[in-house]
Amino acid sequence: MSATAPFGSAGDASSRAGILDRTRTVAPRDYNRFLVPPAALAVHLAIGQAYAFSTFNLPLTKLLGITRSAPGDWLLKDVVWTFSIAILFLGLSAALFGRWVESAGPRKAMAVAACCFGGGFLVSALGIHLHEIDLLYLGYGVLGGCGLGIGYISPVSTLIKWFPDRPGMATGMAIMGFGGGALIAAPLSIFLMDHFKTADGNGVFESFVAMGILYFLFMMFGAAIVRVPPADWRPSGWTPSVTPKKLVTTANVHVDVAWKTRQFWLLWGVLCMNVTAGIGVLSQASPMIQEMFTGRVTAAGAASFVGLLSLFNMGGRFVWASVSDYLGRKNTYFVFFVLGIVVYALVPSIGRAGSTPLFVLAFGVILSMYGGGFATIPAYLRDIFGTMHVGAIHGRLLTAWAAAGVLGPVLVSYIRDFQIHNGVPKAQAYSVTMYIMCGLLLIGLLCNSAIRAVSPELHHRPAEK
Amino acid sequence: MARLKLAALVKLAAFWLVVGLPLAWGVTKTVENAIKLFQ
Repeated sequence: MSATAPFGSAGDASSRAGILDRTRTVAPRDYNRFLVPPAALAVHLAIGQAYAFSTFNLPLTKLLGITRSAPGDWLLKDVVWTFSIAILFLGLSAALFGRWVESAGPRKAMAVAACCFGGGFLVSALGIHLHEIDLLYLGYGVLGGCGLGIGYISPVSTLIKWFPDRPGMATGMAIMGFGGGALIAAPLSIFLMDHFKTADGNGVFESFVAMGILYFLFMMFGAAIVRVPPADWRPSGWTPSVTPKKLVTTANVHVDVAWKTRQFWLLWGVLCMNVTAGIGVLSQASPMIQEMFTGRVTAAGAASFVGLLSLFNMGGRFVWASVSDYLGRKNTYFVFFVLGIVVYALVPSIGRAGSTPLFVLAFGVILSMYGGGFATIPAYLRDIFGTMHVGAIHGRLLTAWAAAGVLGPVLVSYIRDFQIHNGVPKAQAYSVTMYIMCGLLLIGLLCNSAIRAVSPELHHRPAEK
Repeated sequence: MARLKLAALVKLAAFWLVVGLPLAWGVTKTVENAIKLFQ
């Protein structure tokens, strides 16, 4: 097979294998590895739509009334469950299907993710048409959530294998797409709903159908162009460092062994604490800035603040993960936790000083580290457990995200309500929250400090299955 | 040989454009809104 053959070269076996099979994705040795990140980005930019699901929340409560909620319309408290179910199934499917993703290869995994995510939109559209909220939960929540989980982990180990010299930058590029997906999806959803709205409908049904088809095609583009490197492939001119680094292994740890190690659970704590601190703020960003700067920041200004935070979240994923290739993963998380503690501790003073630009900058830094935490963790796992099952191990570690997704928002909103209930002015109701976030980051810092290399006894030997 | 190199470059640019253009559109819209609302 020639170097320019559309599905790579893998000999006779590949000619009998299905088009989605791993063997059909093996690239020639001279393949340009920079052709691979767009495949990962296509998937992550699509599934990153999840962060912008809230743009549908209010329209979904006006399906019968069209311009306002009518009797029989879905309630907001019921609609918001859709996103929570999707994130829950993201964590569950990443953990459950991680091993399958590793064995099936990235193309099959991406295609399955595309079917689940695109299909989830279509099932939800049917639910909207029939006005059955259970179908919305089943479609976007369960099916779409599985698409999120499988799609999220599908390109990770492939990119790490293509970029052994810069694993942080490579995974940062892909996971940046998940942050960037919201920046596309929010204006796209608004555009589609405006385009499809009529006197008889608010355009949500048609927008779901259109987004299901668009995202399916976009993810299938990623599946079509993804390639895995040939066995023992290395970038030309690159040789692995001969001086061993304490926390970078050249061996591998099997996923079934990895998740029972102390290192796995310390990393779980590191991710969980970093995400809890960021997601708590992200979920309350709009009311927080309005209440801390009463009369100076409008609801529209707060919406633009949330948009800016998404930019920091996206940029942080690429920048911090790339920086980690130079600083080392442990040192990068050390910076996240120490800088995070300092910035969170300063927020109440910034609020009292009334400086909106400083407030925006402080939360921009925090959100960049939130994104950076997500993007740096695959490379950290690769350093500790090797490349063999890094995708599957990453999938299991993402349960920390599901836990943080509940813990963060609950902590911030409940503490705020408790404070206000006890007579604390709204502008000061977030101070205690900020100090609690400092405490969570301190726990993360301790977990990170305790991470050591895995004992060689636990390394995988090729004869083992 | 030169034609092959050019074809490879076009492919690289095309792949990056497919993902880069929607992302650039999303970033522009976000920045536009932020500037408008903070003015």
